[in-house]
Amino acid sequence: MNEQPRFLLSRLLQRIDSPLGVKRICYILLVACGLLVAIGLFIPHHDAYGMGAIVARIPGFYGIYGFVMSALLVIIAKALRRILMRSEDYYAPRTIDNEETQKERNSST
Amino acid sequence: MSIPPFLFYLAGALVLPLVPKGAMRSLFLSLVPVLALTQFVVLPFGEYASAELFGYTLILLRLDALAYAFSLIFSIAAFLAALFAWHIRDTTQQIATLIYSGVAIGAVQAGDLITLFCFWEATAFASVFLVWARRTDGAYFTGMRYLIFQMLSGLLLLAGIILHINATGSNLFVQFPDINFAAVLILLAFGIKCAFPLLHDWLQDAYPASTPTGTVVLSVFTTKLAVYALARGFPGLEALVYIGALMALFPIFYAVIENDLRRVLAFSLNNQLGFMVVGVGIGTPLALNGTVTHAFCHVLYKALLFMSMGAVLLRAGTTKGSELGGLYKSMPYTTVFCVIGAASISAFPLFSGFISKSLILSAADKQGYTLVWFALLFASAGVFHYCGIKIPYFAFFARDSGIRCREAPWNMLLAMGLTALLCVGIGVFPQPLYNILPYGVSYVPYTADHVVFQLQLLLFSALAFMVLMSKGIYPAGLRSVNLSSDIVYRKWLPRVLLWTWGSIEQFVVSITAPLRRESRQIFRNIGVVIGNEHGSGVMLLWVGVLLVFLLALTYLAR
Repeated sequence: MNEQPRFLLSRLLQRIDSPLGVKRICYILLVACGLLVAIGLFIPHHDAYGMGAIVARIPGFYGIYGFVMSALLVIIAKALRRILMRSEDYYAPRTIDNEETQKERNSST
Repeated sequence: MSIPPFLFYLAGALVLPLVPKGAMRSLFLSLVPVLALTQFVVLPFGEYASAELFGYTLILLRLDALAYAFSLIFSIAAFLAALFAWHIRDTTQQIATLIYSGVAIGAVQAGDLITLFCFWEATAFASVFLVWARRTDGAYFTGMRYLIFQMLSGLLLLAGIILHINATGSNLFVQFPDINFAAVLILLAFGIKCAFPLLHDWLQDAYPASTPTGTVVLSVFTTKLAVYALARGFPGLEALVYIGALMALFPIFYAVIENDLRRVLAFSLNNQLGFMVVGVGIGTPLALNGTVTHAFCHVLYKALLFMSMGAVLLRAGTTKGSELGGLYKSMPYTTVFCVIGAASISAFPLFSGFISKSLILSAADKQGYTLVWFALLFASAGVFHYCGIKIPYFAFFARDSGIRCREAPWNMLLAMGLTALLCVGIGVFPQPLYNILPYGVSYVPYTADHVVFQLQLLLFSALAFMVLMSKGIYPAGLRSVNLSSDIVYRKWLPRVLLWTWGSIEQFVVSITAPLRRESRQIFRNIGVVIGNEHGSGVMLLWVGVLLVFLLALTYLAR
């Protein structure tokens, strides 16, 4: 789509939205993650107690924990969909869940 | 003598219908919070405006550090919400908003339990009109469910207060010394409003049902009032640590698969409340300060996120993730404000969430709640995933939905801009906020390890998002609802009740059938006598016979 958005800000945001922009963000993110792990090795840990002090000695612990746990979160949540997901009109008509869809359907017919 | 601030709101609500609709009324609406704020903002701490009722002293205005912090943020939020709703011409919503804000401030400034109870109930009644303001059948029923839960909370509170006053003779609202039956009732009452696990469904049910502006107002008061009440009544109650950890954890799974982005925000509201409840449960000065700071920052960034989604709902007509995408082309300013809100809730350094959440995490670690600490860390990574990335990504980027709409009206942009400014301002200069905290604790959020570890947690979790997205594992938005514990009272209970009622009816019919047959026979015989088959005439005849019989009896009895 080659339309030019009206706002200057939109045009700036469009740069991020392009395939090249996304690729760039990926690389920046990877570099930033690597840098953070490297910096983490050298900084003093004066603000950690208990467990915080223990895990601070593991290089990149917070990064690994963040990556693994958030990936687990998504995978478990997606699996939960099989059990929990129902159609939008499950509670209809005593709910707002399907009101927009209903309205759309009424206006199109 | 100082006037309790809530009176300004109530007086404002009375006068409001006389103010002509339009800019005049909108100005009036945003001036009321400012006027009320001037009443307490420089007032020395103490108790004001007390009254005697049936031998009990009611304290309508008690100002201490805890009440001050909550009153201040409620007032700021009330002003911002009024600005955000500047274009609204709906008198019902305007009056409901004024009363709701006023009584919520009244509740945190109430010095005794009887006054607290009155305001507690009033928040329920005033706020339900914001749900009904959507004016659809679905919103009516949703509002009813919401009201039932709020009333239940009020009833439990009333029962608990009566027992408490009976046992102790004091109606002062201070920390409950021991956890007896009365205290448990009160705790449950607070727990419903605070959306404890299994008592939480009203929140995710009702908040997305309100209007674009109404949800912003709803998100501010009720739950934070409950956090305040917990911090006042039950600081250091250990059970709250685990309840809070559970609250921080389970909503995030729902948030990942939820389609309605305003409901995603409601889930994240619940998750953030979990952090605050953990802080109350730990109960050390650092933890309680953390709860107050987090509540303060949370009101702002949550309002900002709900504002941005409200603007999307107003302009694009929906907040369903499955229908949205590419909105940055039409609403770039809203996009930026939403991203600032998302960065704040994700606790990025230099944003408000960072300087508040770390207090609670540090406190949990310091007191040796290792498992809870890991859980909160997980919840922090999670909140970035489903709220920090998912909300802006699905609404404003992702695939282009083709929706081309206008940017939000100026007043919405102004309200969002001011709120975003506060989020960043507090994140960069946290000291003024730390200065009003109830306990003098010197806390330095910006240390090298804090910043680096938090950034590690967040950026690696962003990396996970990117990997999952590119592999197509990340769940797409689907038109759907997800079952929760509310299925008990929305599906099963009605079904059981209907079945039970049906069975009872059938049973009664089956045992009375022979009887009815007999009586019909008798009546038919009489009907034959008077030539009229069991009509109203038969009834009249019998009434007449009975009356004559009674008359005869009374005559004879003389």
